[in-house]
Amino acid sequence: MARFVVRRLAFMIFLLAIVSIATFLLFSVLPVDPASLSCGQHCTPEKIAANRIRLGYDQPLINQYFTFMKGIFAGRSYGEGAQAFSCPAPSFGYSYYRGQCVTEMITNALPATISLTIGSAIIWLTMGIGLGVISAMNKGKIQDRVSTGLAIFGLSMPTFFIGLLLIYVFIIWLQIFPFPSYTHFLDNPFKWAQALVLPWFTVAIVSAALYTRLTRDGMLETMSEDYVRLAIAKGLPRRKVLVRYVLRGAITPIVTIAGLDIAVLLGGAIITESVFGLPGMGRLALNSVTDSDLPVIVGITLITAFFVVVANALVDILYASLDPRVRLES
Amino acid sequence: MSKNILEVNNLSVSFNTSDGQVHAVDNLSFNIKAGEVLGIVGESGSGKSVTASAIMGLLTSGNVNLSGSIKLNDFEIVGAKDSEVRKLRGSDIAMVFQDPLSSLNPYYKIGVQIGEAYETHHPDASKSEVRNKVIEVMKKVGIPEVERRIDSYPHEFSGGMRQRVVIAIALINDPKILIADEPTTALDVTVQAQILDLMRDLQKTSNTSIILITHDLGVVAEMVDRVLVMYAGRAVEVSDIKAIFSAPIHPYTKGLLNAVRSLDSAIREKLATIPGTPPSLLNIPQGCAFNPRCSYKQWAGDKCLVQKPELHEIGSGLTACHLSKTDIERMNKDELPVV
Repeated sequence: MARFVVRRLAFMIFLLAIVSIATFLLFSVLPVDPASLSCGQHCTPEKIAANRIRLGYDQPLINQYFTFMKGIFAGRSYGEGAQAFSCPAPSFGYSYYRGQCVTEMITNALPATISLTIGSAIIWLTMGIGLGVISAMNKGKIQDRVSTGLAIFGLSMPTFFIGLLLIYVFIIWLQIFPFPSYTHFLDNPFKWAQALVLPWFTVAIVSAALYTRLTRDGMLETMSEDYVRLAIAKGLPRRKVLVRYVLRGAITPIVTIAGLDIAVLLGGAIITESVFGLPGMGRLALNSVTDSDLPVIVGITLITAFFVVVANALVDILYASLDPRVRLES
Repeated sequence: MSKNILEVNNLSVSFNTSDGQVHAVDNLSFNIKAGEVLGIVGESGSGKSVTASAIMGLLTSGNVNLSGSIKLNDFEIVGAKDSEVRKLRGSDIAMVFQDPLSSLNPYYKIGVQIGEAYETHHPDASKSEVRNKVIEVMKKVGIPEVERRIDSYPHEFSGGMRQRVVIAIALINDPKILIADEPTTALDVTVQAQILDLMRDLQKTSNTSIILITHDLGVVAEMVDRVLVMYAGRAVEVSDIKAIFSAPIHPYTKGLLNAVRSLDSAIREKLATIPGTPPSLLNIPQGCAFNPRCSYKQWAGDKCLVQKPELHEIGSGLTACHLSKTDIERMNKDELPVV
């Protein structure tokens, strides 16, 4: 098991290095000149040239890459003399457009996104798996049709539509919630939850559908397994057969998909965050793209890739602990 | 004569499907005594496994029509509450399935899966009691290095060992009846013999009755006392093991026996087959279900096409065939009707 984990982690680091190179190359060929973008209103060619040197864009690409990577581990300083400033490690660069270190901007955006992700994941997993179990246990009956119908409804509604619908119903029409303004959890947990309930459900309604299907189909498939027949033949009670045998056999693909879904969501739920005005990663990404704020986009891309790669590794490790057959193959 | 432990009377099972009613078992009656080994033989789709499921009380879904009676020691299984039947499953009636590779849950240790069968029926048993019981039964079915193997996972076992585990699960509560549904079909030939030996030894020491479901007459010859031959959901012959091999009393049984290659047959001799295929259970032929494939029906005339033969005694056995006793004797002298 330990060897399996070590190998998986080594592979993860290798993968991240590849992603960082690819991202860096991709953004270096974009027809946008970061030096002129950061120049301001009264721009002169001299200022642009000076900026280029200060930002390090005059260097060969490979040097730029290593400076960037070094910044992640050791921090990075810009300029000289009185104008000098630095971004402490881990530094993903400096946004001249905003005049802020990228890392600081990301750290400010992460809490909202993490709150959104964790909350909605709990809701969609409960809802999705719950409906799936109900469906599978009542295959072909009215409960199954209703659950499957709800799932298809959720799946086919665009996120912005669900978001706007919830805003209309709960904020404008029923007036149960004030219009959400994000508050930090530590400042006021109640207001934090109040601002997040609708975004949570927006993401959850859209995501749960897939889990309902996965759970339903997985359980129905497992139900025809011989080991489930043997469990019944042993005289085990129905509940035990259902949980220890049927659900247990269906849970592995669900864990896989959930891990990746959560990772992608941590990179920012662009639509949901925009609809509800949440200051998270998705909105930061969107704003940076509109502003052509390259360093921020590179930073967000890398962080998102990091989440996905880590989630992948975690899912693999979890897989091994969920399924004893996987361990042998390492 | 000892008492019948299981009595099946006029059992009929049909399934409602989108294509129509499938008559899997039709008016089946048989019984089994304590310590007896009954073989149920027939091709795929003859209703063997459905009969087993019915005895286990597993046919509870909405599309099943079940009638007749299955009595285990005077307890009526047909129509009983699932919670009542559940108490019998795994304790009084246990089952061994065909494929040991898929019969065990890949996620749990062997010891847990065997122990579970005991715990369910002995909810007050302590952990150490369960473990001791598991070790005892694992030793009984011939699993080596029990102390180590008890914490292994199914994938660490060979097919034969896994079937021993499945048998251990079946035997841990000393069942009165063990239903073995093709227990050796998925195993290597050498392992098949080991598993059959094991089952025979266990049966002798514990006086458990066994219902052995198979399509392999070789397996039947090795360990069965009495044979029930099924065709298209009906019993066509019930005979003692010796009688069935020396003088079958149904043309279908005769056909099955011809299809078994014996050691003294010539190497290039073509294996005999029964012409045609088993009927679709959606559309069972009128009269005797076997008539389209029967080589002897001319002896009995049109009766075979219109009238369902009922089980009746001929010699020491029961047959569902319109042929007279003399016709059957002619059949066993390898005479054929002139067409």
